[in-house]
Amino acid sequence: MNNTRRSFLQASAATLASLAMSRPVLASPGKASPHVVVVGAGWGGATCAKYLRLWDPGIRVTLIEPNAHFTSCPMSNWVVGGFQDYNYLIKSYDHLPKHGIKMVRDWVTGVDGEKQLVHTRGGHKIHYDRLVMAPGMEFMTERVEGYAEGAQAQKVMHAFRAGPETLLLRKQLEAMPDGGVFVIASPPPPGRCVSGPYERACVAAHYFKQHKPKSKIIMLDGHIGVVSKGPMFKAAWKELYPGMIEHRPNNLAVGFDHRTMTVSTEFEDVQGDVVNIIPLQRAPQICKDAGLRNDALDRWCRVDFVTYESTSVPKVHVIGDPIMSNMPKSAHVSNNQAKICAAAIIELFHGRQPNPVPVIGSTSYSVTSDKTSGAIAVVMRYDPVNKVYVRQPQGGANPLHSELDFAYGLAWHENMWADALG
Amino acid sequence: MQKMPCLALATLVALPWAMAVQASDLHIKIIASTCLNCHGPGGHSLGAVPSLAGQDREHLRTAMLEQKSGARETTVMRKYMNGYKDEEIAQLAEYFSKLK
Repeated sequence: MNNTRRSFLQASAATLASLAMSRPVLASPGKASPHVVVVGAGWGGATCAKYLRLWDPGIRVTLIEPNAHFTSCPMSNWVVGGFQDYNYLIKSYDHLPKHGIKMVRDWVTGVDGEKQLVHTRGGHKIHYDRLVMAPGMEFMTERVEGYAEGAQAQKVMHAFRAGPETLLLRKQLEAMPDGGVFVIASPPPPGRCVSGPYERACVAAHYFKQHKPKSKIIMLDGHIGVVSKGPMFKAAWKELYPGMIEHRPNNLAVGFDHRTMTVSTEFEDVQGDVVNIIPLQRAPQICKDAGLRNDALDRWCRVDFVTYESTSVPKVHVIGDPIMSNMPKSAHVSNNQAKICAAAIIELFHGRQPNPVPVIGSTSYSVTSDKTSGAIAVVMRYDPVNKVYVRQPQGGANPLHSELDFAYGLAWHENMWADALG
Repeated sequence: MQKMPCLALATLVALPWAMAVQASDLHIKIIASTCLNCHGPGGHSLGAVPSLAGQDREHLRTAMLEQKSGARETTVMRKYMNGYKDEEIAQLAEYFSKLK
């Protein structure tokens, strides 16, 4: 017996034990086809809805999303750097109904796990057999004193959810005088796209180098070092933007005074002409209200990593940013979790065993200029005994950026969009 | 609590071979789907990342194994291939070769 089959069968025992407790929805003759409701049409939600239908057209899928179109967070730094148009980030949802997905443009206000109902702002009560929550994350702005007032005055933004703040940051960088200071304050992990702040420093430096060469970027990093792709970023900063980017680790932003444009950390006060603070994050309020945000710190949702079903609310699955795991909170991982979750839901509906040993890949590309990029890739295999995803050897970041990784990164974006939305 | 694993194991032993094969197919199908966000939906890439659909099975398998060993130069594929077992690579090659 080879290792794959052995681990598969070992894991089978545990999963079959739990399956023995439940009956497949399709078991009742004449019963309507099972209904999955997916909340949030981002990288995870849209992908999950699409693959549920691709892999089992017998399942009815309703996808609830408040926005009229998709706006991509990956590549939004290109807009901040001024080498991509904002409209490029916007993609249509028009292809999803062609897969038989019912799109509902609405905002989910509550989940009733007992009655298996989703409540919406538009007054709908939608029954589900299985619910997939993919609502992204929310910012803990209360952890930065003065952030709310500063944001209200448009003197600070996170620009970490692509949209109007992406454009606001770009506008403020354009208005900044030569010799100005751009402050980027980033949180320690876990959080969305941990390499994003360092990529942002690159794209801003790329812009300053051409138009405002006396300017400076100060990174106030809540982590003890560059969280991701560290050697690659540091080499790129030295090569392309010498002396322009100052990285100050272990320096979490805890306050902001928009009248003086001063960011306070536990150690120092730093003044900027443009200030970008990315606060700590957690699973959104809707997850809390639904009883899904159940870790000890009340930040993330714990799930079974075979099915992505909540550990506290049966028949509710959570994918993407909101879950507590050692997987990166990235577009790529959300997309892959969506597929594992979709496959598991299908197996459960048919009374079969979900794949007990899922394997997940994570890739991300960070641009360092308008022609170069650095990549990271990791494969994680689920260990059913210890119930964790284990990083496989040889994974990690490329030590240097390259034009080839830039080309592959561009293809990654195009293919990801087509995979999730096409 | 002690009885449940025994029950499950007994069920497992009684599983027909076809079902085990089916489970293995499911495992490969899901891994393959996680390749397609880079390599394009259905294995048809829209950019510089190579398409996989309809490629010769042996060519794919050899390429992936060479990426794994480092004999073939890559940017990220060596990192990926070292995460997969050789038999998974062989099955993935077969899966992609059959995509139209």
